[in-house]
Amino acid sequence: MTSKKNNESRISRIFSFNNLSISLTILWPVIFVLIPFAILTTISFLVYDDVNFFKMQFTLENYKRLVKDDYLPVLLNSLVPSLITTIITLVISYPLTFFITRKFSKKTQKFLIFLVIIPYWTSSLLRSYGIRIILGTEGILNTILIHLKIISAPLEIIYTPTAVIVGFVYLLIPLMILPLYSTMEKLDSRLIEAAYDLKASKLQTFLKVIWPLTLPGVTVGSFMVFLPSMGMFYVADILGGAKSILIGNLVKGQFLEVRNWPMGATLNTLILVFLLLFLLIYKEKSHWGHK
Amino acid sequence: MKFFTLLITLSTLFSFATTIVTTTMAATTTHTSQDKVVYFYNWTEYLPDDVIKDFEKETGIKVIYSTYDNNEAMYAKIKMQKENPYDIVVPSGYFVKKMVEAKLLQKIDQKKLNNFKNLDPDLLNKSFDPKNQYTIPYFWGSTVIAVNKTKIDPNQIKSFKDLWKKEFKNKVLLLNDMREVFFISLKTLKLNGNTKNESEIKKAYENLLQLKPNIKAFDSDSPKTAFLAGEVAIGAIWNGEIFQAMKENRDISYIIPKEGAFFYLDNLAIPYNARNVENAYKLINFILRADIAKRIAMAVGYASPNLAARKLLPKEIANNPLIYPEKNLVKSGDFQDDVGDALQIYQRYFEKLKL
Amino acid sequence: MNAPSKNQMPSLSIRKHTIAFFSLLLLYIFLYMPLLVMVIFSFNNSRFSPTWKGFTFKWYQLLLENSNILEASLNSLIIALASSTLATLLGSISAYALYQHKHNGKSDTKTKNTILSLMFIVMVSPDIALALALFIFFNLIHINLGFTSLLLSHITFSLPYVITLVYARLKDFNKHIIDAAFDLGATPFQTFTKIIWPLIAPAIISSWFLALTISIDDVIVSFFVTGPDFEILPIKIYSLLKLGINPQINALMTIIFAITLLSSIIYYRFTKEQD
Repeated sequence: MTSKKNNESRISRIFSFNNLSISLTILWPVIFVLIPFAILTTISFLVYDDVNFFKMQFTLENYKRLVKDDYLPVLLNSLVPSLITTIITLVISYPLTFFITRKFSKKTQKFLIFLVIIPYWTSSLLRSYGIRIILGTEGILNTILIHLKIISAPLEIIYTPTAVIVGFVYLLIPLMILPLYSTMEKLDSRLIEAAYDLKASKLQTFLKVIWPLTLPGVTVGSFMVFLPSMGMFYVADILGGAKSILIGNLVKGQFLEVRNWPMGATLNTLILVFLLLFLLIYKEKSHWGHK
Repeated sequence: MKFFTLLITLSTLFSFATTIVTTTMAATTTHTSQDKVVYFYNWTEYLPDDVIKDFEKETGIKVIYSTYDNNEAMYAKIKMQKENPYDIVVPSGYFVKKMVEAKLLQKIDQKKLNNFKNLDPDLLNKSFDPKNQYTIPYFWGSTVIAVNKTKIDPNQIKSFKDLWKKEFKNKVLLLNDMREVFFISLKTLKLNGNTKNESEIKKAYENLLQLKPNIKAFDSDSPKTAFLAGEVAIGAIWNGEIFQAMKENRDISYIIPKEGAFFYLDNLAIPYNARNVENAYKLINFILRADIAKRIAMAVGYASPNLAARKLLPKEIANNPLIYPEKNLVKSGDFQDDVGDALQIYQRYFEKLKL
Repeated sequence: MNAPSKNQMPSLSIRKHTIAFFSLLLLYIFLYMPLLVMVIFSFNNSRFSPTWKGFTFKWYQLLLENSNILEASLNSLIIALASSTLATLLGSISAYALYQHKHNGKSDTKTKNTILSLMFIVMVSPDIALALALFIFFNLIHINLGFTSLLLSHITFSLPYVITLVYARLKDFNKHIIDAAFDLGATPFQTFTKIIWPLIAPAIISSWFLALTISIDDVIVSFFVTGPDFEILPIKIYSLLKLGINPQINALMTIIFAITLLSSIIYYRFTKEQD
């Protein structure tokens, strides 16, 4: 990208609303994200009040409790299912999306991707209950497997951490497939052919050509799966039998079960601090936004 | 691609149009028709639609019915909104005290409710509202033991303590509600189920750690489902849930534990800043009418505190000890009460239990 | 469901890709199984039972009489379409602005990183935290809870997905193409419709669908930021779980599912290949 300057003027001729758009871009997140979360973070430094949720009195007690009441390990514990989910969705989505974009016509591709989204227009809660019926001890999966004599005794999947992961993967997989599709769809197959012509092996072609070109999709997809999975709490309740506590459940418990808004806000701030650390490390490693 | 472009263009136009229309409509509706409406904020499926329609027909007052499923969320909405839109709310017993302390409820003039006399005296004047100054009982229930007869012989189960038996490993279901779970543990230790004492709560927690290997799941959204699906064999759940499960599956049975049941009572109340107070009285009085209360009780399935209505119920329900336990049991049982700041201690130990 | 197109790609050999086809089929089975369960149970003659108790249409009948649920569904549709469209518009403009924005001629990474971080904050926060943050905020600035607050909130939590998707697409956008278009005498409008739009359209369309999906499914945030005059479906569904899954909801979802699936199949059958 050397001749940037010269393009700039031309592009801004198309979008002469540059200044308007950048101020809009800044305004919305500031008003509806920064301010509300700043209020929430402020509350995390206030004293809990039984009647009014919080008292206007500064304290660090909530943050001390993070250490004292062993909340830090919970954060680390809830990273594990999120990470596993991200890896599984990537491993499933990547080859299948690639296959879709390589082997079908444009029209069929769109149809197949659309088929991935359709289930998500019905309530995710209802589908979580559907998963419960499928995975149940006397459920559909077990009945089929026993009938086919693959297993002799029913698998006890439901109300285990495995069921939680299955639920996460199920609910978040379109968030991986969509970004992958939007980078793979425009991948020029001539590049791959060229690599073959140059006698590159399949692995080499993948590592040197396909993977780097699809990396933006992988990154965006992983973010879109990993981040929301940390905060989802009803999956652990419905499919995991509410036995394990993930960070999302802790936050929900403080806000909705004991009305301790300062502590809930503190736990949320902990998540945000963790996110910022993660982004800093990520930026060091790969320079977000610049190639 | 053209199709999608068209789709997006159309929805853009559509969304702008609806945004404008709905915003202006919302601005007008809330202000004009004020004396003809009542806003009822209730637990879900706690009032059948046909009762609402009959009330609207009879009085010409429109009922705007919306629902919540958590006392704390309802509290937040009443507390934080300066212009609170709700005229009737239904706090649980233990929550009433909190709302009265926060001055969120107004006193109820029982003279305006000529059907107040229908209520069961045993369910009035409870500790959270000694003279029923703020609340009218709406529904009540208790936590008892459910078993699946094909998996466990109900005769060997006598008390909550039996849940701790080693042979029930990974077979027990408990409500996902810390107060309910701790109540069971406190009772088996012969302690006060509404205790505020940290060392007692800690003891109950240690006792629950012993129970942990037996617990297959916590569920308070729809605990009967786990029984109907055959996931669990035994557990402590609400009586109304068992009653409905028994209708679906005859293998499910119940036991009223020796330690005594844990009762809850949900109550109708009027927020301090309600805007349609007179209409709220009319609706409450309508609900207290014997024939209406009977219809509501039939639809909801839980126990009605309305004695006159109970007389109208079919015998198999009115005389069912699962729904309407014996008098002594009600008198000796514990009603869930506010524990104040001790709630934080319960929460901490409940979280620890799950870690 | 996923039969390969017969005419367009004659070179496609099914046998060569058996494993791939089989895995793709498995993926769709995985995605559609819970829906199948939902469809089956909308015909189950039992209020609560997770096992089969005979066939019935009564849940559909009850649904059609249930004005509450139907009104809430309509409200949901309105809010989902409005918020996803506005979020896509705003998000695409934002993504473009982030991509283009220069401060004193230098690429302004600081602004960009700040905005992207704010977007990630929305994505990572548990729903309940976002819900209360917005709830407190709206009460503080005296916005009455209802349609407006609901719309603003839905746009806010859909925005991150739109911005990240469109921005990712723009990031490896080859600017020389635009250069070439101008050199060949194209007007800015032509350049936009013929070059830029086709290139970013897939990302914009994907993000619109994603925003729609997220909005139609949100419970917790909506619960806190809406009022009694504007109830939406997910809230109803969520609270109905208190008494076990309501087969009426299964019936409603089956109808929605059937309409979307059928219309997309019809659309697929009756359109011609464009490229």
